[in-house]
Amino acid sequence: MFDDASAYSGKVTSYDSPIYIADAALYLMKHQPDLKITDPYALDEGQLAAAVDLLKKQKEHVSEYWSDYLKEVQAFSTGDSVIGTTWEVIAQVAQGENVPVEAVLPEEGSTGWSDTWMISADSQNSNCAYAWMDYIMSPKAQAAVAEYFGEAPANTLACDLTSKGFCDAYHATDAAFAAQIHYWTTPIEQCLDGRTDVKCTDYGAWTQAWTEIKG
Amino acid sequence: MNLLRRLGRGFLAIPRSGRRLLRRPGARVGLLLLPPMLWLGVAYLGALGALFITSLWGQNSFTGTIERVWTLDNFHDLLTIEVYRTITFRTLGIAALVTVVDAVLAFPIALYMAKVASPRLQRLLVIAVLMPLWASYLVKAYAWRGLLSQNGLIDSIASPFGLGTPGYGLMATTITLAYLWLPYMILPIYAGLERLPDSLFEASADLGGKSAMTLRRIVLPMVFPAVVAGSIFTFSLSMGDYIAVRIVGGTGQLLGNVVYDNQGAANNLPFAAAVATIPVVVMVVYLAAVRRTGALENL
Repeated sequence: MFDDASAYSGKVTSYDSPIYIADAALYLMKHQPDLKITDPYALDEGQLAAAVDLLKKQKEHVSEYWSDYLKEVQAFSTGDSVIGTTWEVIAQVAQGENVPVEAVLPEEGSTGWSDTWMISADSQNSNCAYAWMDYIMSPKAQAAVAEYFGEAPANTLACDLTSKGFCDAYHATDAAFAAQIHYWTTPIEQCLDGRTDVKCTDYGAWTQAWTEIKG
Repeated sequence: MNLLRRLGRGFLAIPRSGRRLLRRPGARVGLLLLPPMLWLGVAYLGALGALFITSLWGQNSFTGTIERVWTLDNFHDLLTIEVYRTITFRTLGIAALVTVVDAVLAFPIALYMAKVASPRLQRLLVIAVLMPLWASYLVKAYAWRGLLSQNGLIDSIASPFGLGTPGYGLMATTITLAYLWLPYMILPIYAGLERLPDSLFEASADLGGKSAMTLRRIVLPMVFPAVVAGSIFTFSLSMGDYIAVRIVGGTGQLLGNVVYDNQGAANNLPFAAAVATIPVVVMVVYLAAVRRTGALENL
């Protein structure tokens, strides 16, 4: 995606969001150790600039950025894109439509996030809220949510109820796989990696940087 | 029945003072106009005012919440950071290009509809022009995505001539927007041409004017305000669009995308509001300029 993008020039697709800067930071973490990035969501100004430079170079070969999964599935089935960042569910849907694609975990690891439910702290019916929490965490509900949405269930007991091969495809019980995912933490001024001698760039700065990358 | 009648009387019972008010024609019109004017004032102008006020606020970098402290930082960033100027001029360019393409396409269609077609065909053509507006915007934009794909219909038609699809990008965005807004250009021009008396065409012919000359010296000058009226629609709709460019725009971005990117996870509504004032200012300037052409009477 970064070092070999030129080999697929004009056929590369990437996720359209400021948080994608973390993917570039993750690449630099491994390949440019002198930048001393330890957390892809904690970048000081110099580290952010390096990630932005990398993404600007990649952009020369990008055909389009994607944000909804219909768009990416379509681009891969027509051949407008041949390589790109993806969600597991997009690869699964494309394979279901007989598009020859494969999702791989890069040697650098990957970014990712957990979808979350929220309950209002001011809920008037707290008993119902607890009952609902019990329900949504139950294997049955988790299996339904995971299959409907195309993601690994939060409760691994759900894997007995999902369709055959589902949990394997989404690496739901693969701890070694999960260990390589750097989960989304919204960048803030206070460095998330514990550094106190510098200020980190916050999500607002990332948003502005993303606008500049797209130009 | 009795109950209904009594209820009706209850509803219609207007106190004496009110009755006197209703006898005054000015007051009656005023009462009639009050609700729509309130709606216009609060929902439209009020929202614009709120937008402008928000653009003068800041954002807490830790919590992401809006801080209601007056600041010009957003406008300072907008003016000093080069990429926003680039995007503004790109957006203006695309909106202008879409408007020109639509005017060129719409004029012959409108001329045929207004002056050549039989009354029956005229009605059918008006329906045909309006019909694309009945389909969802997204369906039409995704249809263009399919057409413009590298193995899409446009490519297979153009390849025997050694041409190909322009691919996803600003060109594709311009084509898609020009398609989407074409009816908004055809209808004002059609209305303008319909008002043009046929006797003018005859007079021109009697004086020896050929068709081309009549079009250039009679029709175009008289229908120009209608074209400008149509351009207000195509220009402003293109200025604010961010969906078509996301679907067919490749890596391109317009002002609307910057507004969009600053909402959601970024939650920088003050900056988004500042960006959103650019199209508003441009449209105010544009409307002030076209007022001289008499286009506003053609809307």
